Amino acid sequence: MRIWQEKFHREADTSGISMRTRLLLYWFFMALAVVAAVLAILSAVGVLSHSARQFSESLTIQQQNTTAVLDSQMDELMAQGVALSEKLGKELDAFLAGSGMAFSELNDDPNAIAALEQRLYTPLNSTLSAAACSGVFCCLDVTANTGLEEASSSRAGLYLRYSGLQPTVASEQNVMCFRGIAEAARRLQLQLHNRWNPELNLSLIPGSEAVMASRDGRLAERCLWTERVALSDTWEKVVLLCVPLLDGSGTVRGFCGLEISDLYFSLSHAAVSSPYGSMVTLLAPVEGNSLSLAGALLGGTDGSRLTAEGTLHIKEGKYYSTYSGGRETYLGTHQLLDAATSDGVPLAAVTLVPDSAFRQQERNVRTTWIVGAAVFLLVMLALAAVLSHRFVRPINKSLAAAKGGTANAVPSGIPEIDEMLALLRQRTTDALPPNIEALLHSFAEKADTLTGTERSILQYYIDGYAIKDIPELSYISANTVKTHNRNIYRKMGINSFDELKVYIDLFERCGRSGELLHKGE
Amino acid sequence: MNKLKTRLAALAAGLLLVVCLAGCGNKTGEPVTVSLWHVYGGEVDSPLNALVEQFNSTVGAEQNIRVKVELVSNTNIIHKSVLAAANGDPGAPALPDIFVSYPKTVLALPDQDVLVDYRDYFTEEELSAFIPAFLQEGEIGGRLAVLPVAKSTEVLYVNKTLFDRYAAVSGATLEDLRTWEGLYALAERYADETDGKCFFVHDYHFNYFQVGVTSLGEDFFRDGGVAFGPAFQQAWEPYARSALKGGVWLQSGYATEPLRTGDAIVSVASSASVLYYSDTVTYPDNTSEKVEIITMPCPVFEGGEKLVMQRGAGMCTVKSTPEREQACMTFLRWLTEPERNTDFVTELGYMPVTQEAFDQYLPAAVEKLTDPMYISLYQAYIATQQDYSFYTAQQMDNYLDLETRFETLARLKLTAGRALYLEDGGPAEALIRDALEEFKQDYDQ
Repeated sequence: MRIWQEKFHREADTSGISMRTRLLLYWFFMALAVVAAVLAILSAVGVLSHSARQFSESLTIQQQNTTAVLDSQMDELMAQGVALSEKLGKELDAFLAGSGMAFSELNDDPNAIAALEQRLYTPLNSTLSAAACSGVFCCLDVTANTGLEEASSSRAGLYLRYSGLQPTVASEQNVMCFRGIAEAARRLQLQLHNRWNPELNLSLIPGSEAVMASRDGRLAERCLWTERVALSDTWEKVVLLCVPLLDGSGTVRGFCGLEISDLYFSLSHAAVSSPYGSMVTLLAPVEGNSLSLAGALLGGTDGSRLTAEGTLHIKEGKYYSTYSGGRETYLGTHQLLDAATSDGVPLAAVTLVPDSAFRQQERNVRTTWIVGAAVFLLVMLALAAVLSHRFVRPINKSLAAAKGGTANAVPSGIPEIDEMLALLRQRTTDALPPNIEALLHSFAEKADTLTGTERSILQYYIDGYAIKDIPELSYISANTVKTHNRNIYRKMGINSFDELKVYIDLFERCGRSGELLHKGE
Repeated sequence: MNKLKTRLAALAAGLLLVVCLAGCGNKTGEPVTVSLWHVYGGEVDSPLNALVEQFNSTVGAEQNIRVKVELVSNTNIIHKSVLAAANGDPGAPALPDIFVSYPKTVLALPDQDVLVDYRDYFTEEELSAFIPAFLQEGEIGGRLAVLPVAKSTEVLYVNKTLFDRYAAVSGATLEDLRTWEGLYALAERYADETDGKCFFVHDYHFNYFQVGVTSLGEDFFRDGGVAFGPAFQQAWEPYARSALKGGVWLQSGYATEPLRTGDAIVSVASSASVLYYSDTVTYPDNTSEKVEIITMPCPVFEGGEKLVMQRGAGMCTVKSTPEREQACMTFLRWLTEPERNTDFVTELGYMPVTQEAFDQYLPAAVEKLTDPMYISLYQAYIATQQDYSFYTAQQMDNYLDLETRFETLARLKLTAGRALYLEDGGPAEALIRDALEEFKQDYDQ
């Protein structure tokens, strides 16, 4: 008994995790669960998401790039336009000098115009090859037939443009004659455009009259960007840069310039992928709070449904502006460039992202937070449940064992509990009333006087056998059993088998059955 | 305890469902954008572009698909761009998702496996709706790589206003244009009488010889090249004679061009070029004249079979992601639905590609036409269908090379011959023979 108790105490001291540590772990997981729940709630209300700020940062970087690229492209085109004007002016002077004609004598002389156009082809074509544009043109303030009704708006000129623009390098492009004398085009081995005409129609080029009417100032200051206009009978729309064309005396003899078509712009400015949706580049007239999509050149529109139709109303926000009014709402930003259309509306570099794409991304981020927090919460709750279950199970086992009064106590694995149970057990043992303890002690001492056979018979009774079972178990007769019983009763100081069973039961309930036959061993 | 367990299990299941649902769907909600290179209305107002817009705003909007037209050109430019892209040439663009192509482009690809096999997406039932001969043309290497969307043939366009003006003084009739012999004889006469003005322009000289020689009962191709047999010589002589005299247009470019400027009166071109013909002729002095353009079946050789070239490219789809490929198929199914297909093709001078479209919708669509040029075209088309057999170009790896060299060299040799003719002014017979010999010699090199 003492050996076992010592052993029990020793195990209680060293085995298992202490109750304190277990409680600490349990509360730690509970605390984490509470944190997860708080995170989930904060995520759901959007306190934790910084999508708008992060989107604004991405947008700003893209807008800076867009502005720089468009600014540089427009600057270069203006420089090339001015250079083209100067080259064409020299060619015009040389042609007139060589042919001995006055400029006005070109009127009603298709052959002379064709010859001049042939001469102007080289600077035009070299500019087309070098510049970031889809076409070049020159328009002379003369016409092949002044007798025609529409003669006042029909002006001779050569307009070259890429046909079936390919998304590839300029050298691979197919140059066609969109406007110009057919004979000149054939001599130049140029294919006529399917919607070719010999002359340009000034009424279709907004601002052209203003350019031709300009008298003073440097060429760069007299350049003008047209609105986005349709190329007649084609599916394309273009923006034209018009530069006055001067002869040697500084007289305006027409205008020349470069073309940027919708298609060219779209192929040159691909949409940029971002976590918030495709970022689309626009070159658009912006007046006050209105952005004219109908007048805008759109970059690649992959990932959006943006089309060059209608007007967008701009509403400025903390992180970005909202552009609404079309089929979709867009988020983005814009910056005015140092350029304006022929009607004086400033042009802006614009970066737009579909609102739906951004909102979807925002939802995705929020969902990820909520789901993450929820999963974390679930795991923490599960861990707390498992821990509490494992925490309680050995205690229950140990208590059940203690309640059952089994001889061997079941350790709980928790030092504090085991120690407490051991103390209770010890206290229970020590607390027997002295007369009972003396009675049990005296009874156990009397058992020492039994012979070997009597002891083995007593053992059978302790094991729960009845008197009638003994002859068969001990290979003796019933009378011999009676004799042994009488001797046992006598030696133990009792009078009947029932009294013996009371003592055996008492010893067993006290967990001391072993003392009956093993005392002194 | 059991109640707690049930509640915990329910909570766990709910959370798992949320996690699964959060992982589904388009992450950004952006439409699947597929690019398209096509030829239907290059440079002019394109009916297909309008249809693409219609698709984008209806089915596309519902299914989050956006078709984006990136190039509207002709098949030769698309051929060049596709090959440059497929070969990864410097500066070449990426391949589009869908492009219009003849089988010759597919055959020239370095790896034909970059294209989807439409049989992987269209059921046998869906494909059975197409006219079998049209589908057959798109079969390459056992795969259906080219899906027909519109078919055309070659027809004869006549500027009837100018023709009538000439007929009034020469006695020429439109019946002269039924045979090649009659047409070239008229072209020769016209050139003689107008000091070398051009009368006739053919878009594809290669096709003239290919179909002509076959109609005369000989094979045009032999051993991967051209068989210059007696029928070839028969086709060459009237053509070369009128060319040397100035009656045939030898400059490059499309037939629409000299008709637009009044530099030619008659042309043979694809029925699909009707979109590019103008009913206005503009002269060098900038004056314009409204004219009547009529269409007739393509001329044939006297005694030869009534044979005409079947044209019309189809759509190829480039392999990408299942999502993009499926988007392409959605668009192509939509485009080839019989009624829509009929409306689409009749705006362009093509024929539809399904039997149902031919039988149920085409007659009504033709009746609805109001443009005299289109009415005349479809009358000629119906006459061609009744009286002619259709010739389909052979699938040969070097077809494009043979065609390109033929076009360039034939025009060059005859242009040189014309210069000699103008220089000497003597009989054309020797020059015709010499031009042919030189042509054969240089072409075979």
